[in-house]
Amino acid sequence: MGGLAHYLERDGLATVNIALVYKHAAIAQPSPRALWVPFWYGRPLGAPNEPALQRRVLDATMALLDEPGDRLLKEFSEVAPPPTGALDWRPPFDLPRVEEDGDRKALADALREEVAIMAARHEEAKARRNGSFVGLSGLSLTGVADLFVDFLYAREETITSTSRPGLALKFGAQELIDSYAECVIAAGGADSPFGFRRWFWHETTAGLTVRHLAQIAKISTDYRARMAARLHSLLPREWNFVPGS
Amino acid sequence: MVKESDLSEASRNSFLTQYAFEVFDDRPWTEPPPKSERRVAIVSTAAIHVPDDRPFGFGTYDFRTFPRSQRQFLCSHNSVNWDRTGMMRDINVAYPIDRLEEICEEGGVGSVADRHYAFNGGTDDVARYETHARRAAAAMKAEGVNTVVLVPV
Repeated sequence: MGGLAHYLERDGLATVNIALVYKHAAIAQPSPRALWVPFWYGRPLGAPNEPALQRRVLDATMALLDEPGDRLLKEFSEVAPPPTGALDWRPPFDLPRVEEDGDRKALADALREEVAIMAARHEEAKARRNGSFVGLSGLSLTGVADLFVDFLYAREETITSTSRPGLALKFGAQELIDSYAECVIAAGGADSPFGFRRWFWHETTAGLTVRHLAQIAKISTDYRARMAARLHSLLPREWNFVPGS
Repeated sequence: MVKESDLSEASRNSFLTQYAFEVFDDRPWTEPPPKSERRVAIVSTAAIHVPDDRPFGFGTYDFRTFPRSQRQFLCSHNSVNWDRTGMMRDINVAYPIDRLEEICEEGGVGSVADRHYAFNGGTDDVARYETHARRAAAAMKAEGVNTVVLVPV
């Protein structure tokens, strides 16, 4: 972020940026004006549907343009409202139970069953939400499930025979994550980034499948598949981490 | 999907060791225009784009641009480390276009740019953004933009 600001500033544009990683902004100081905010990654303005808070963040950011001095790094001291029910969060619907220790066929069958349920839910969610973040892969959700079953069974053979396997893995994984999130939101699920993450990665077959695929990709002979794993395009770095632990 | 303060120590450290800090030889500084003359564009690193635009692939340092009125996006960011559910609930939590419009209506800035920009963050070679950032800067200046707000995820 700061690097981009540096290049734009060099080309004669006055820049100001929000910073989420304090040490990046403090050590590198690539940009002339930055506001560090103590918010979740992905939420630089604080919280969704909190326009007053978002406005205070943007006002504080823009105010740096009127302050004298160079390499300004200010802190936004306000903390975002905690997402509702973070630790005991549950989605507003149930799915079949995940068998962590099941064999490959059981996992494949469970994935197809679960994704079929969620694909139907997602059609309703899209209609209700008037838009969707899902649509990168060009596949239906059940098509993504079929592709991932192929990856689970044939592994290297599927990776080497798939056009752009890194992107197929990345977009497929992101579509499963995003479609499940949109189903939760459309069904009125409380806003809890931590709760959603814990549920998706620990309690859904889609999450379990992507965890397996991330391991497969990590040791693949195909550099594109390895890159998908290395860049955390499949599995978040902190998928198993509990805040405060 | 966490706050910096909630990260494990290992992850906090990896943010400092895994990602290369670009060391710049210069310290560019542009005088901001007076508020009433500011024409403002937003640059996001959330890798958002218009649904029928090309998704960002791996190792891509280029950008996508979209009109001021755009509110529907796809997101093809490299990483699933960060929370996308906030953005699904309200795009302004990562791309504060409606907040910027409000500031403009109240006279806090002169005007809002007709087009805004997104790059694919989460990459580890900052220098490779330079060519593309300069192209974006040229496009911005061509429509009279003189001020940029950069928003990470």
